[in-house]
This record gives sequence, C-alpha cells and structure tokens, in this order.
Amino acid sequence: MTAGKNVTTITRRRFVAAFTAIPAFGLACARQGNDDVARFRLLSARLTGFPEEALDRDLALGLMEGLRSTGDGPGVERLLSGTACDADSDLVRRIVVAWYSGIYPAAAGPTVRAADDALVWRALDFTKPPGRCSMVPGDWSDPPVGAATP
Amino acid sequence: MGEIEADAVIVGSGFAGALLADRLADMGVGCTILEAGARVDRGTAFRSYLGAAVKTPESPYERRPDADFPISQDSGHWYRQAGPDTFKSTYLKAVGGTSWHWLGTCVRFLPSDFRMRTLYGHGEDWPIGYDELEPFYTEAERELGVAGDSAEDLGSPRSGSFPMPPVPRSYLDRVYEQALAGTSFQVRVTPQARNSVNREGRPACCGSATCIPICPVAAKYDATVHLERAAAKGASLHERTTATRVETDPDGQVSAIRFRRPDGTGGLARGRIYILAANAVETPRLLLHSGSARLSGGVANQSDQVGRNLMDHPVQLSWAVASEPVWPYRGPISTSGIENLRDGSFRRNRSSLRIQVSNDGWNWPTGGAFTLADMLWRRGLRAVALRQAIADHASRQVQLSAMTEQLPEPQNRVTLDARDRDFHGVPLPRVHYRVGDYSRRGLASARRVHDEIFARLNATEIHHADDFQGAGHIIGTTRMGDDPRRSVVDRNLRCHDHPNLFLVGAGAFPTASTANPTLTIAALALRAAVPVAETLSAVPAPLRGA
Repeated sequence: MTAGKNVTTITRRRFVAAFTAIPAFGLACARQGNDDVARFRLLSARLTGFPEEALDRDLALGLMEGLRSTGDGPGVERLLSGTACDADSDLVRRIVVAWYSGIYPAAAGPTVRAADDALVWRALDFTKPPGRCSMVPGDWSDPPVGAATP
Repeated sequence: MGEIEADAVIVGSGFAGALLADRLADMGVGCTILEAGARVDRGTAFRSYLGAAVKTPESPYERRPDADFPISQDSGHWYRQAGPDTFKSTYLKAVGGTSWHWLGTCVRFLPSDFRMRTLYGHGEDWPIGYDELEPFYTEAERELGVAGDSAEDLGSPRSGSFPMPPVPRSYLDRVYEQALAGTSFQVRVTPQARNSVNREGRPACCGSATCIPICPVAAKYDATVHLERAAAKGASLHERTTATRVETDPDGQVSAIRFRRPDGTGGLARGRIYILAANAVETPRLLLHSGSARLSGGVANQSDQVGRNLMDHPVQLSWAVASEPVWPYRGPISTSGIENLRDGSFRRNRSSLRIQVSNDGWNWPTGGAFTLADMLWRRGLRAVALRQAIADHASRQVQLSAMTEQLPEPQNRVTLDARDRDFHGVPLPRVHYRVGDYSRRGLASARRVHDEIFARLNATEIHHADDFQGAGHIIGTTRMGDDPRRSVVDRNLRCHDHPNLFLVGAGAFPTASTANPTLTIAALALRAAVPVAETLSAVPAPLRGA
C-alpha cells in the first residue's frame, strides 16, 4: 500500500504563483552542517525544493558516494565547500534528477537506489509509486482526494 | 539422450499452449509441454522491475544463454534485422510465455476483419468467418476472465456476457469522453483480462499501474493460470527444455520433437499429436530449421509460406499536456479506447485505427514521471518551482497510441540467419520487415486524429513519434487457409503437409485486424481442441519398444 501521504490540491493558480515567486536562482552553496552528508542534504534541500527532513540520510550518502565513484567527487566538494555556486551546472542537474528519479550514478552504471522513496512520488502527491496498490481499489475513477475538479 | 512421451506434445507455454493443454487434459488427452524458458517467481520478477534503471517490458525477466529473447532497448539483440525497417516487437521465453508482460486488452476482431479481400481488396479473406469463431470468443472471455460492459456495442456481436463487470474507468477516460461528446470519436470501455472482482483465486485489480511489464498481484490473467489447471489434470511441463527440431517420417507424419537442455543433454519428445505454440517468430524458426533431404524448405513448408507475411500493428504514439489535470499515473495502464475507427470504406485506401487511451502519462514515449525532473530542469525550473511544476505537468499528461493494420506481404518474413546461431546451435531469426504505404497512410491519419482529440482537450506540448512503434503483436508467419499452395495450416490449424502437426497462435492469422491479438489467439486455440482430439483418436498408439 502507498505511504500515507498528505494529498493536497494542486491548481494551476497555485503553480503559477509558486513559479513566479521564485527569484533568479543563486543559492546552491551550502556551508552549514557538521559533516558532508548533512551539508549534502542541506544543499539537496535547496536544489530540490523539499525540506531537509524529507531527504533520507542513507540515500544522501548513497548519492554522494555514487557521484564520487563516477568522477564527480571534486565537483561535489566544491559545492559543499561553497566555492562553487553555479545552480545551473550539469552536476547540479544530475543531483536533482537523481533525487527525483531515484536512479543514482554508480561505477557500474545508473542504479536504482530509491524506488518508492524517489522524490518524484512525493511531488506527485495525487498518486503513489508504480507497483503499489491504490489506497482504495477503483479510486482512479475519481479525482484525487482534495483535488479541485476542473 | 532422454525420452519424453505423451499423447500430445506441445511446444510453448504461452496463451495458446496453456489453453490447449488445459482443454485437451479436460478431454482425457495426456499432454506434455516443452518450454524453453524457466518458471517465473512473481515476487522476484517484480523486484527486478523495481530495480531496473531502464524499465522495459522485459525488465523483470531473466534472460539466460539457453533461452535468450529479443529486448526492447536493442533491436539487434536476438533478431538479425534485414530491414529496410526495424522490427520492434519482442517476446519472452518463460513458463507462461509473453503473457507475463501483455497489457491484458481483450478486443474481438470485427466481422469485416475476416473478409478484407472481399470487402476492401486487400490482404486475404480468412477461411472462417466471425460467426464461426464467435462461440469461441465467448468461451475465451470466460477462460481468461474478461471484464467488460456486455451492453456496449463494439462492433462484434456477442452471444454471451462478459464474466465480470468492467474494470473501473479512470477519471481521465471521463475527461476524454466529455471532451469528445458530439464528435465522431467514441470512447468505450476496453474489455480486459483483468479481474474487476475477486475471481477464481485471484484478486481484483488494485491499480498497481504496472500491467506492463508485470502485475504484482496477479489480477491480470497470464497463462500460468491454465498451466496450473492442466498440471492438476495430469499434464506435465518441462521447463528449460528447448525444442530444436521437428522430426518427420517419410509418410509425412511428425515423429518426434528433438530438444536440448542447458547442460547440453537432449532427447526426443514423442507423441501422437504435435502442437507448436511457440509464437510467430519461434514457430517458423523451428520449422525452417527442421529441413531435411526430403523437406529441403523445412517442415510444413511445401507452400513456401512458412515465415512469410510477418505482421505487427505499427503504432502511432502521440502525447501532450491537457489544459486541466486529468490525474494520470493511477489505475491500470488503459481502461478505454476509441473503437469506432476500426472499420469503414476508407480501408480500401488506408489502414483502420484502434486508439488506446492510456492512463500512464508519458511513460511510453519519455519514461514518464522518472524523467520529468530532467525535462523541467532543462526548461529553467528550479527548487520549489521545479517541484510544483513536476506535479502540475504530470497531472495533465495525456497519451494516445493508435494501432494500424499491417497487410500481409510475402517479403516481410522470418528466415534463418546464415551466420549467427543460438546456444543450442539453431540459427537466429533474421527478420525482413517493411511497413508499407497502406499502414503508413494509417499512421498519418492517426496523427491527424490525435491532433483533433488533443485540440478538444485544449492540449499543448503536442508530440507525435517520428516513426512507428512496435505493438508487441507478432502475427502471420504460418498463415491459415483452405489452399495448401498458399497457406501453411488449414481452418483447424492443422498443417496441410503433416496431419498430426498443429500450429497455434497468431502466426495463423491471414490478416492482422487492429484488435490486440490475444483473444483471437485464445479463441482459435480453443476451437482447435476438438480437431486435435479427433485427429488423436484416429492415430494409432505407437508400439512401445518397437
């Protein structure tokens, strides 16, 4: 069964408002935190738009290790140390995509490290990860709970 | 060497082989099934799917050197593509065959589909008509467990009701229906072999949304249902046992199936009746490889039709973003279709269309939700805006896939590769394939229809795949007909050349229709049971030890 996520209403109005509220991006640096993982989670929270608590520590560690194993160690270090702040860099893109897709870089090739925990399934709070049953069989006939009917 | 003996030797354990084994076992016929692949553990396969970075129809299933098969992400794996187009449909080797990763759609052929030559001047007429097959469609729907709306007219008259009420339609289906009200496009509930209620020990669909490549709860029918039933009635199944040759006697009777196992051992499977149910690539491959001094063109091939007339349903895939949420990524992959474009006088000029309305967003064309962050990041969205854009975009994704009818053409064919062989020394299938103008005009028509439908949804970001997709429907390489000079099997699926050899499956279809083929495969297999049993009763039991 799907995890008990809070189903929220997503409307066009809310989306547009959120989009227009985001300033030009320039906050990829992350200096706080006691260790690399903590700093990487903080960085990832800023990049993904999810709160730090939503980003599993083990997954963060796994992603960091994956990036390091594929040659991105120096780039990650620069991001963590705050010496590189390019929010549009390809490395930042790959970090964001990995969190959302659950597919992490690895020396042996892209690897699924987070199936149900991939952030995309938290972003899509109107459904659940594939392969998991609906909360109520047949609930796909109606709009998600809380959704505004168009 | 080892020996396997039974009244009936069946090669292949997919839809046709499993159904026929069960039906023959009901009649008291001793059956044995040779299956190249291994048994599938559903839980293991599901975990393999979850762990696959690239999710394809084959992701959950283990490929072994002794039972390899084509894969979606590499068209040159297994197939030796001779062009000019690429043949894109794949299949599995496993106990249960490709029924593991089918969608579950169970649409009947239309009466006109059996008379393409007479009505529209293309292809062939079938030697049997819709009326002759209709009772077996009803039986097949009961056997597979098809959920559908019996009152809805899909153009194929019915003598019986569906055994289950329809699977609940998606919210998205209703959005389409409302948007298309008053147009010529009729959105209809899709009959499907997916439990809408708990039935015969399997649960109702719970909306896992992974019908392809695997239903984690077995709500979707697969052939293991009938394999288990047949086994309970005494049928035997030999997994990882690959048929490599059909042996024949000078009098034209098949005398044995030669097989091999992964450890290099092999033997002969002997029966009185032989049934090839491997699929429309593997069955002709086996027949062509079984040539001899007497049968230089292969077994069952006096007509030179074995391997010819390969067909698929070339698909026009289109996708877009609706103006308002349609809430996809919920429920079975498809619960509705547009069925009223499947027939008309236009079939003289171009292919008809069966349009599948999909509930799974952009999964097929782009990888769907898994690739959305990358796509929207590249559009400049960042942080919270990215997160919200992902949710908004995904909630409005729509996808249509139109299956076109491909005509039978003799040059579209499966032959044996002259160089490359498999683990057992059998030549790999060489595929000669071209999507002709008739189907191409159908694909172009589908793009126009999709544009009209998307316009009704006020959709944006409209995409049409540049080239056709494979439907996974492999059809037509051992065609059925009354004339032994132009066909491989007769109307009962018995080989013209070998009275104790039957070929079941979509290979027998003289034409392809636009209906997904499984229900017709099942109906034909059930219809063949009586002729098989009658033939068996006429063949004397062999003298053991002679």
